[in-house]
Amino acid sequence: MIYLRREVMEMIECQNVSVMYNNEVEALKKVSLTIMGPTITGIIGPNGSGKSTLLKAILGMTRSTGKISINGVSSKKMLKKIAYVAQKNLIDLSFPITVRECVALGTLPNLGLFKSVRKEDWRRVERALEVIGLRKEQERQIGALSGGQFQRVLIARCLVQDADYLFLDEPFVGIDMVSENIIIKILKDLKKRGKTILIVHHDLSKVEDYFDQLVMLNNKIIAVGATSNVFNMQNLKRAYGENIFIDRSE
Amino acid sequence: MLAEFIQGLMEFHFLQNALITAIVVGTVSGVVGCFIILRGMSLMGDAISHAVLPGVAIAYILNINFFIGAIAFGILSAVIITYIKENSVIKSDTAIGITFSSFLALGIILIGFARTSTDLFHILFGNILAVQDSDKWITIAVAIFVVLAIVLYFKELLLTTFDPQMAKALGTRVNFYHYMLMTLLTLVAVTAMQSVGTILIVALLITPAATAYLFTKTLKTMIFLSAGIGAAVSVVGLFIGYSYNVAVGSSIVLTATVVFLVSFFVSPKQKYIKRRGHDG
Ligand SMILES: Nc1ncnc2c1ncn2[C@@H]1O[C@H](COP(=O)(O)OP(=O)(O)OP(=O)(O)O)[C@@H](O)[C@H]1O
Ligand SMILES: [Mg+2]
Repeated sequence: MIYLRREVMEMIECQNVSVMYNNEVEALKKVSLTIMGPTITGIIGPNGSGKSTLLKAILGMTRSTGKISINGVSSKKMLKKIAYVAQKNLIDLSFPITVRECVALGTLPNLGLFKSVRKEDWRRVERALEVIGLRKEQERQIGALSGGQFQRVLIARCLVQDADYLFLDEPFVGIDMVSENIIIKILKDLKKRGKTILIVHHDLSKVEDYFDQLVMLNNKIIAVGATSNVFNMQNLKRAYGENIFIDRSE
Repeated sequence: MLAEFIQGLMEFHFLQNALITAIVVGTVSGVVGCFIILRGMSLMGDAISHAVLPGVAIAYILNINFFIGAIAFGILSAVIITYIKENSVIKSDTAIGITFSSFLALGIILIGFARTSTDLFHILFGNILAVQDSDKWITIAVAIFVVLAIVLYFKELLLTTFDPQMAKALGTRVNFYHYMLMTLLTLVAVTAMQSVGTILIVALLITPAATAYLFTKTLKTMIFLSAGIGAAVSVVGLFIGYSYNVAVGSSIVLTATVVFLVSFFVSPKQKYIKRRGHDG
């Protein structure tokens, strides 16, 4: 299959990015990194190592110092080109909204002011629901889904957004293996179509399978680079401590 | 009884004004109320409706239209509450409590200066049977403005209400929509002052919306149903108040309560069985 080459290289750049919470917790310490796209990049590190904070800093959801740019432009101007699934969604599940409408919210960033969802957008919504396996459930109110099904709704919404960048913060928590595999396949396909994908992930046994590149964090950068170069015991011990053990069976 | 009410409607201009105003106020309260309850801002609604009081008083004193004073103070209170909440450890219900009781107290004193105690009574408890033509027209204009704003910004209001996190990640000015709703809320509070009075506005805002919430699974249907319920209970309340010579505002509120209670027990979704949230 032939894909058209893009004119601009996709690129996320952080220079000396630091994030302080409440003047006491230093979640990120002078993080500098460059992520080239289109790729799938894994962000790994122990709990509290600043993985979520890194995504939020790029999205401008938390105050940070340093410079963050996307394709050379300040990241604040690129927000509509990023689709984001948060680790902890604060969504009220009894909100009067159906699965279909919730997924359709992904089209909003691409709609002008005062415009409503178009016919072709609804078709995209339907396709996303199809691939994510929730077509039968589309008219249900979101509270009438299981936890994993709802997580899939959020990923479908992210797909519908058709953004150049996808930021997924632990997207597979609560999702069964079959769905996880389907989603990874979709993501790999999106990469081929030029998307740059960042995924915070905990399951180290999947790292080599899923990610082209890795960002290893422990509030500061432990390592950045191609997975084959940086995914080794030495770096892992620096990130997670000496007692690390990875199960690669299966 | 009903015949008498209809007879009255045909005969008396004041009753026609009352009916139209009641319907318009009920409808628009129902619409805005949906956003208020979904954002968990019922208390804020209560606060703003009380906080407009000093504005109304000052408008009387300066002899300007009471809408202007009311809006200024309604928004001022929203700003103060949001400021306290965001810049200190004090939680929003506390900030709301402090702000609205102060504004209410100030309002009562100012109204004492401005007018007689009868006026205070009417502002606090509503006086729909005395609605003037000009008030009716202002109410209609305000209602059209509020509904239009909600229609035009519907998708932004939906997104910022449903998933503020996503809205923020997209760079949406979440605060802008917060204050926009506060402004609309203030406008509605001022119009509703005539029908149910300051004290009871919050009921007209949240009871029809809460009732609609029990039956609907999309925001649009919730808004339509809530508006319908708001209008219907206003008409029924007016009828009861007029026919039995009891306070109209209170009749409207209690009618809404009865509708809510019945719905609560027959609701197919049984939302009163509290759902667990996702904590992952
Ligand atoms: N809103 C906040 N206020 C104060 N401290 C915070 C806040 N969010 C995160 N932190 C702190 O910042 C540090 C990094 O948090 P972050 O959520 O980025 O970690 P993480 O790597 O995503 O962890 P996990 O694997 O548990 O999701 C932690 O020490 C955390 O306690
Ligand atoms: Mg995290």
